[in-house]
Amino acid sequence: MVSVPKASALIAANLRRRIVTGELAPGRTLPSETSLMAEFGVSRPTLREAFRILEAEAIITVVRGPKGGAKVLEPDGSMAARYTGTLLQYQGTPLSDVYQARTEIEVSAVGMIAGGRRAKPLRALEDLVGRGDAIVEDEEAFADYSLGFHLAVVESAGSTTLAALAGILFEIIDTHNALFIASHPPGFERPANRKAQRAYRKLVKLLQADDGMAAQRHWRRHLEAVEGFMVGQSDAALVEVLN
Amino acid sequence: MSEPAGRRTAVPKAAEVAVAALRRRIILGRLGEGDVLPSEDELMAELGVSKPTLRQAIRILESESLVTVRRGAHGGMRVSVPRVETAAGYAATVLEYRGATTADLFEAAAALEGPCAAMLARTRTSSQLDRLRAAATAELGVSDPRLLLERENDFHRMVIEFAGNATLRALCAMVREIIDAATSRYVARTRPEVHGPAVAAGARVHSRFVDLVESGAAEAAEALWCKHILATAARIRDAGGAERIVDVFG
Repeated sequence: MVSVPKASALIAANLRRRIVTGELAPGRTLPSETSLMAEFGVSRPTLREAFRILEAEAIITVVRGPKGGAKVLEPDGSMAARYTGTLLQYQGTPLSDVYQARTEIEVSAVGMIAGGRRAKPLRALEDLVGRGDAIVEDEEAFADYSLGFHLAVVESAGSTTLAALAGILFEIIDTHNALFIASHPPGFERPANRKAQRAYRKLVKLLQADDGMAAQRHWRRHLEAVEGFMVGQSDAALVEVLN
Repeated sequence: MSEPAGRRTAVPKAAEVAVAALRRRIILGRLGEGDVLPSEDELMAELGVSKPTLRQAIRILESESLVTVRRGAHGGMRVSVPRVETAAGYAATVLEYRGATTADLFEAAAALEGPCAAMLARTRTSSQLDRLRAAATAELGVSDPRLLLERENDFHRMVIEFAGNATLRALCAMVREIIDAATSRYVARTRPEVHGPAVAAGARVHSRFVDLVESGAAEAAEALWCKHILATAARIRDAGGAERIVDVFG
């Protein structure tokens, strides 16, 4: 049996397409309700139902009142990240599972950097790693830098899709990281941060030397050590850790 | 989890606390799919919040797709438990907006499923192996390309499932939703002489893959699986298939 999509879902799909293709850019206001009703040939309740769908997806926001209207938001992935976090918690996913997935994705990314056209991605990592030395003693600044470095590794692999999906994962890990820092005395992470900075430098060096296999092995070892430090032997579920 | 920065401005603390409490009930399964939320009065008493705060909390849950407001006689506020398809929809919107292409979609699939293949070769149980073997062998007997393609996509899902990492499974599912659409589009838009041999070749790779999983050759299984995914991408590209993900669903 084929189910026929409701008119509101079809209108939402049409408007979503205009938003993701950039025809309706972030910050723009959608055409007025009256003109959209005429364009799609639907009633006001049907149109508003379509707005509710897009509002739930956080790609428009409806401002009420005389100067109101539906404004386009940037599809920045925060909704995807929040929902995926909730989904993983609902599935009873352990924290260690999230860290293991991160390891696998980044090791794959390192392999892609080594196997691809390297000049440009390597320059991004080289530039970035130079900034770490000065902030290695500052836990909050280093946490931001570190997140940026991991993201740069994945982005350097050259797949927009992989970078976007890894971004979802990194938001969850970043949330845990912030809680981890807050729950330990100041200075607790400093030795691990110094070690991480050395690991970043070594990764860049191995990639410069065009030794992809060694780079992948090194990065796996580093990420597994990070998991050991952040998760330990804990089999805590994500829901316990993040709430 | 805590709220990512931006987007939501100045939500009062009380509403956030109420949202967290209700979200937690859904996550822990105390409120299940389709359950009607308790009445406003009950929730106000239980959570210790005012009516406007409660309504704001419910609006937030609605915006997170965890509560659906249905109108009509059997209406009311009902729970929608988190589903991977919904997550995939959110992810697809972001990918479309960032201008992701089918080529880089398949690269991501290789990067995510490759490690699943290696994990599977290391940890597979004998019953998992039996099911993989049965599925791969059954594929060899299917001649209708559309049907075979469906079976092959199911085989990929089985590999991901059996690898045992829930986080990778969720991310792979997001990619697979789009790959399913891209590969069916390829079969629908090319002639049988073109897609027939291509889809049949995929089935033979699946059988070889099961051999590697059986012998525990993790690295070889991963390499074959990545190559297989990238070969599919090349076929779609050569057939002049959709370039942008936004066109896959067009």
